[in-house]
Amino acid sequence: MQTTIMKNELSSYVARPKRYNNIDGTGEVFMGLMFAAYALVAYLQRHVPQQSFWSVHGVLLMYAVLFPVLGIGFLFQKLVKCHITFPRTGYAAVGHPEKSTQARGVVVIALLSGAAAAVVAMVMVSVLRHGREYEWSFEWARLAYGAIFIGAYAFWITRMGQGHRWKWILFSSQFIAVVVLASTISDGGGLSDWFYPRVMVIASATWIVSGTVTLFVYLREHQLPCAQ
Amino acid sequence: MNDNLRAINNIDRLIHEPGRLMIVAILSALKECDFLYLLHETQFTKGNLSSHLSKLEQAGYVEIEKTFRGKLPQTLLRLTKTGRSAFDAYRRELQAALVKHQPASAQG
Repeated sequence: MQTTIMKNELSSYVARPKRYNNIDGTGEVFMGLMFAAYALVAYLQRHVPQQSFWSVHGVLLMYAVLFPVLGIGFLFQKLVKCHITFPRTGYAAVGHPEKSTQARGVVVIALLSGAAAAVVAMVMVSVLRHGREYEWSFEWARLAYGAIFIGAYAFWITRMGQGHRWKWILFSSQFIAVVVLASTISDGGGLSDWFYPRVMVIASATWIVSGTVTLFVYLREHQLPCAQ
Repeated sequence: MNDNLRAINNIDRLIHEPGRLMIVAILSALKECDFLYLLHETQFTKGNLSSHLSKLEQAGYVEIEKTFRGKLPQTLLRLTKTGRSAFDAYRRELQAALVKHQPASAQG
């Protein structure tokens, strides 16, 4: 009996260090900033003058916005970890000493992003080739994007947000906001082009609020240890 | 004695102790961590944790490095190759023993 309990406990202890990475909510704030950057790129792409440098080189515009925002995200994460988290609950570097999990993560993200981009490109080509009769597929692509953004937060809660039940309330709010947006923004029976960036704004707000509240809860629960 | 039961007897007793098992399990998922992190995760007292770590260090399972983070002293802890393979072997043996000795209710 004791051994069976130990076996279950063992798995939970092996999984604990991964959850520790987001004990201070910095992972969520980082994700929120990333979504905000994507929303900003989408907004700018619609507002830069036609035939201007940024309009012709849309990819450069994306990098020009994404890199500084991601840099701010990394800096914020590092500052919080060094000055708040490590002095309170200790330093931990997740991963295997001989296997580069970071490199593996980058490869996985690159493959997933490539696959997602290919699906979107196929849908767009399909719409361009077949005209309005296939426009429904574009609508479904947008709705799928909305579902992915909502689902990503739910997945995060189940994996990393255990012990924070209030996050499900935030998830419900996000879900309701996206459904309301989808129902109010429709134009002529379909969703307008603005659906995608607005969903990202909602997702960004959700993740940033979630991360900030997590950080606040962490600060309330963990005091600085007394100097010996 | 039955061979299956004899397998349980071969389990690494140094790791099998619940406190040390917790420490090794946590360290197995990490490149390295400091003493404060392990103290927070295990909820042991400093003395108890030090004692367990000393035993693991003596067996060559854990590497302890005293360093500084800025002006503050920091004790870094890592599972050695020996420790990692001992933990893997322990998991395998425990798994095998549990599968062979499932209670009648679990066997259906």
